[in-house]
Amino acid sequence: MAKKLFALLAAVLLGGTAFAQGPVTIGVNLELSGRFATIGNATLQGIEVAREQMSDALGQEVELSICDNQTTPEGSINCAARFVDEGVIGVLGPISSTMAIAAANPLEEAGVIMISTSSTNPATTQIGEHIFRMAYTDDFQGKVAARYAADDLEAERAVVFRQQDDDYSFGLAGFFAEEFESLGGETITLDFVSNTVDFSAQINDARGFDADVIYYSGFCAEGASLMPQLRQQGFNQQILGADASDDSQCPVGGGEAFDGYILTGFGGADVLSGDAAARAEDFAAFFDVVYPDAADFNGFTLAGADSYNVMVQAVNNAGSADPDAVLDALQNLEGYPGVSGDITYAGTDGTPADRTIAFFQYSVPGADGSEWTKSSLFGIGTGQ
Amino acid sequence: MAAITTTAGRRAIPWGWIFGLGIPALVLARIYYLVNVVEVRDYAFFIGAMVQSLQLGSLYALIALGYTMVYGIIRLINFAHGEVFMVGAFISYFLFSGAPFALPWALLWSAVLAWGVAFILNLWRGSMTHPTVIAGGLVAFAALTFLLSTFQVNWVAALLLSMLFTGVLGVVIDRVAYRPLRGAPRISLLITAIAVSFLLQNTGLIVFTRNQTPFRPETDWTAFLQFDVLGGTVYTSRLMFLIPILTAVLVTALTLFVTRTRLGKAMRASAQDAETAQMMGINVNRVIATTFLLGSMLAAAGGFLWGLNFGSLNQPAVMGILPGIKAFAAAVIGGIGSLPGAVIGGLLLGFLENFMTALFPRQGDFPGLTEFKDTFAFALLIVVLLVRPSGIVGEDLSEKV
Amino acid sequence: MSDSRTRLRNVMLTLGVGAIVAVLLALVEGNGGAKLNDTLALFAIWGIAALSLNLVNGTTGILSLGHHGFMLIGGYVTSLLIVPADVRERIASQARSDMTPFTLSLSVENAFNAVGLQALTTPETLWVRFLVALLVGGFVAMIFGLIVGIPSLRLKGDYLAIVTFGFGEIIRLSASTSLFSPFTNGALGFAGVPNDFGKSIWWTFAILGLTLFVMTKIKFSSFGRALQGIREDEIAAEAMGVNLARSKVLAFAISAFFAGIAGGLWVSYLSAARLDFFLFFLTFFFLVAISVGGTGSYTGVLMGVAVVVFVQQYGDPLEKTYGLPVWFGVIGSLILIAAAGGWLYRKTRRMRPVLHPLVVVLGLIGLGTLLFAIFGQNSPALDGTFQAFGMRRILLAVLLIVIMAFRPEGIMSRAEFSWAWALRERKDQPSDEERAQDAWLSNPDLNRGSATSSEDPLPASLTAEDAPNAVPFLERGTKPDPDEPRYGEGRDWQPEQDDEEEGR
Repeated sequence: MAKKLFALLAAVLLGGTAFAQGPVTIGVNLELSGRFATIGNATLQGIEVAREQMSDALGQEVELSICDNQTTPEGSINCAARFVDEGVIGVLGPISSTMAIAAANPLEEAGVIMISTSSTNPATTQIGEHIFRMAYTDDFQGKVAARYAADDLEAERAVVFRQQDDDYSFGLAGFFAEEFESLGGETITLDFVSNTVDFSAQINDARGFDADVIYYSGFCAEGASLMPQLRQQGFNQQILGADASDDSQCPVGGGEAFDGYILTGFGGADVLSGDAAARAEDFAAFFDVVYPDAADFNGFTLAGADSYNVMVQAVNNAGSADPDAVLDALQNLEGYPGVSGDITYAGTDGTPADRTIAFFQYSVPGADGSEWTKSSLFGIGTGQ
Repeated sequence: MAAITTTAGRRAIPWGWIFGLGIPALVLARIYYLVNVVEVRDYAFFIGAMVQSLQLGSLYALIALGYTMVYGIIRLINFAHGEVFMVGAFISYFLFSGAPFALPWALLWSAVLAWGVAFILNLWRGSMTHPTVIAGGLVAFAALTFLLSTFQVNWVAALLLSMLFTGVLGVVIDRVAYRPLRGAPRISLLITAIAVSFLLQNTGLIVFTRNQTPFRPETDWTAFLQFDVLGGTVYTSRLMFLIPILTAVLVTALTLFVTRTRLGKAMRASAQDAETAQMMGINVNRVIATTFLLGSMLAAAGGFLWGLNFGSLNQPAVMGILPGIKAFAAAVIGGIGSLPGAVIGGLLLGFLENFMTALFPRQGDFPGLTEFKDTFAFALLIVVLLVRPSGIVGEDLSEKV
Repeated sequence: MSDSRTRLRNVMLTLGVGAIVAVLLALVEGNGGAKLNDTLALFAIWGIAALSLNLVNGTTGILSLGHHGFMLIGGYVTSLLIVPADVRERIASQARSDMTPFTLSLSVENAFNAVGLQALTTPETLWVRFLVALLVGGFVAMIFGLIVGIPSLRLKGDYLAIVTFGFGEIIRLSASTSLFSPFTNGALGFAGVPNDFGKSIWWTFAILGLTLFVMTKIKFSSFGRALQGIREDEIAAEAMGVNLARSKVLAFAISAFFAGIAGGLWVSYLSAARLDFFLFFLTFFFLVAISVGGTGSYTGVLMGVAVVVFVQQYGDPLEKTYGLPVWFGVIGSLILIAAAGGWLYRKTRRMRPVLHPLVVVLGLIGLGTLLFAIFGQNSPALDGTFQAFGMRRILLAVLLIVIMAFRPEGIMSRAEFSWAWALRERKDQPSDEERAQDAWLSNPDLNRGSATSSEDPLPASLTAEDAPNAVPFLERGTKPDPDEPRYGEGRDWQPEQDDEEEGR
């Protein structure tokens, strides 16, 4: 008894310093419920499939500690605190910039590596050296979309819908508008906040502005309400969206209003070239075996898988679970053959050097959105 | 003292005439300015905005009636009414879409509602042990479990059934949460109402969904409608007929019930003076249950039409809050405790919210009133409470000391 | 024991407990882990906010529902003044940022530089800047409290509650509009607020202790007595010379000030300021804390906050994913317990029949569900999992409903913790002054002619020492009558009937 008590006391006193040699644990901070639940679950499935393919690091099993941030910044911060407490090697996620920026500050302070799977706001990786991402950034995405609208769609006047309480949407709308205006167009930015269902006021404001194209930088939760209301109010212009629309909630929720909707998103096997395309196809085939009934398989799935792969690769490269060594390995990662293209962090601020962005188009036959399909139009690499 | 000297000292100013004629005149002048002077809008746009405002105002009126009835009888600001509205919308969604409830929740709901049915029957049969009451409860339980877990109905049946279920839910809320506090201070009652509202929000997250939900029953009433008028095109849908007409029918039915039936008269008597009404042999508990039943039924109808109007339902935790508090504002603006007041207040608020943003659009550097849309209701509520707590048509029910 | 010695003893005891708390906090900080640390910090921050809300809701008896709005103001002002320069640069570089160069330059650091206090702009003196920012946030919240309070406090009761709720929402809704967005960075808010203070149990507990000290001082001052007088009976208080409007507005402003402080710590705790951190649920949590602990009692409020924080921080197992058999089992057990409770209730109340059909039906349903969950574990109907999000909030809401129905005055009612109570002294000893008063009042000369004191054998003139058995005029520490209406309001009509018994 006394021995036990002594051991307990020692454990309490030394608790902070002793390192237990257990399995390699990676934290996963994702939007598994709430507004971005479909995207979050697609990402999680990607991570889990990648773990099926590569389940060991340093000869030990990799364990995932999954935390659901419920699509709230507060939840994301709480997840970050939990991971700091658990002492994980690194954190994967969150998917959206708002949650990523919220979690990045405490993680950077605690010196924990974070790879946001699909946060695209440039500010995310500027927070510190421990913060990485798997996606391209919004200045690129916004510019590509603006050029497409101005050159291919020959639009001169654009209405931009911006969700003003979301970092991603806010930033992206700004980049789109700036590029579109620098190409000689005119824009008007209309704000809404999350959980809006009544867009009549915004649509009334859009009425006075004779637009050729509508750019929607928000998410599907609101988009599914906005698009039918736009169509009902006689707006039949081409609508452009961004990667947040790459989500089955959009066509299923919005129905035929999403027919012909064009969006930019994370490139998959269709738009990748060479080895990368083959790897993406292999991954897709393997994914189908593991999750035959998955609701979504899209760029977020690939980004989730690759952030896991990169994390494990960095641990293996470092040869130990020491945070500094892993960080060093990650910062010097070069040309890792991921399923979404080659990944290089060497010499960047945490954004992979070469990513491929794709243009997709929805086709939604009939009022009911259940039979939607998505086809890719073409892809553009960030290096080009 | 102050009030006496000011009113006796000068002639009464005809505020009614000033506002009643002045505001429409200002609105017309502003429309003329926007159409003919700066030429950024056409007349058809304002007709479209008016149609939208009428739809929105009708919805607010439906919800506001519930607030005003409950306040009239037990002097309670039923904070949970917005959530009752949310539950009504979601129940109708589950009924017409055929999306099944998970079985545990179907059982739970059915148990709660079956007990509510039994309780309502008990108010007439006199005892919870009466065979009719027990049979009614059991039948309701079986029917509800079946309906909620598997059945799919068309939209009219969904609307009616959801009104029925939500009405019973309102009675259950009153019996479980508010009735133990009869006679307690009104503030305790209000705190309980807030707790009930919070409870329903979070139960909704578990039982219904956590996401925004598309709301598209199979009906032709949502078909788009366009017509050319005054040199422009009005964009609307057939709901411009359905929503105001259905509202008018429901309000008329309610008015007839309240003025013509025995129970309705008992209701009005209880609203005047519950204690005396009870002494006169009116079963006040029955009257209160009826009030909650009717108010919640109207809220459910409002919820269904709300879903139709916007094409989707917001997630349960936030769906009821803003419409609920705005409808309460509408009830206060019209004069809380008065049925015509609630309708007038609702329509007024609908116009204010929608038409103001149309009258003051974004124009050059002026950002427009769009971003202040949600604050109108609160601002007006505060102004009305401070300046004329009795509202437009109501009598003064504010606390007298 | 004499008055001054009692006071000295109490002060010493309080300081001793403070020292023990400090030692415990030091132990927690050393080995308690991040979660316990966060929980304690959260307890302190929400404690500050709940105490300040209690000054209005409990002590003054005004139901205010707009507290989250004042916390928002305090939080945003604090973060605007404290966010580091690199965050400002990031905001400035954001495309179409709402912040202007002027509002971006608003910071305590710049102000110190301008007045020549460069010594206070080093990283080591961040705490000075943070305290300044916190205080400024509190004062701005206080100004808003005055703006809100002066017009709306003319109203009473539930109307006032709704108006304060409306103001709370207006503050949040208009913070993102073009009027305020240069100061709030639109709806995006600020990320990167230093969390060295909100997460530090030392800072938060020190400020909590300060708040508690100020609140107790207020409660037992003449101003506090005036406020309690307003709670009990406004007309009587006014007749006694209390300036109703002034007292209410002042209480509201003080409350807003501390709410602003709590808001500043809250953004520091979360290391970010965003509009969705300041939703109505905050005020709701504080309302639960106040109602559970005891409306008007600071001791009770802190107990209530402890309950709320515990549920919020350690209730997450409730929201995990479980298999359907578990859920069925839990639901079945709950129904069974409800049925048993109903049976017990009827039995103790001697209601006939004891086995009410509803009780029987409920019991059968519960038993059936439970048996199905136990023996049907492998059946396909129970093949699935379910996750109950928001269970913690449901729990708190149910707690509030139950408390309001069965014990509306809360655990502590209006009683405060006192050393006299803790040391099992039945009530406070009367002070020297009170002894003299009692003696004077029980002087038969004074009461000559009244029937009650004609038999009093005491001599005509008395000192305190002469009248050890005099009935104290002021009996402190007595509990209020539970049958008294709360919040100083009269009872409405009351149809007290049992629905089971009512017949035609």
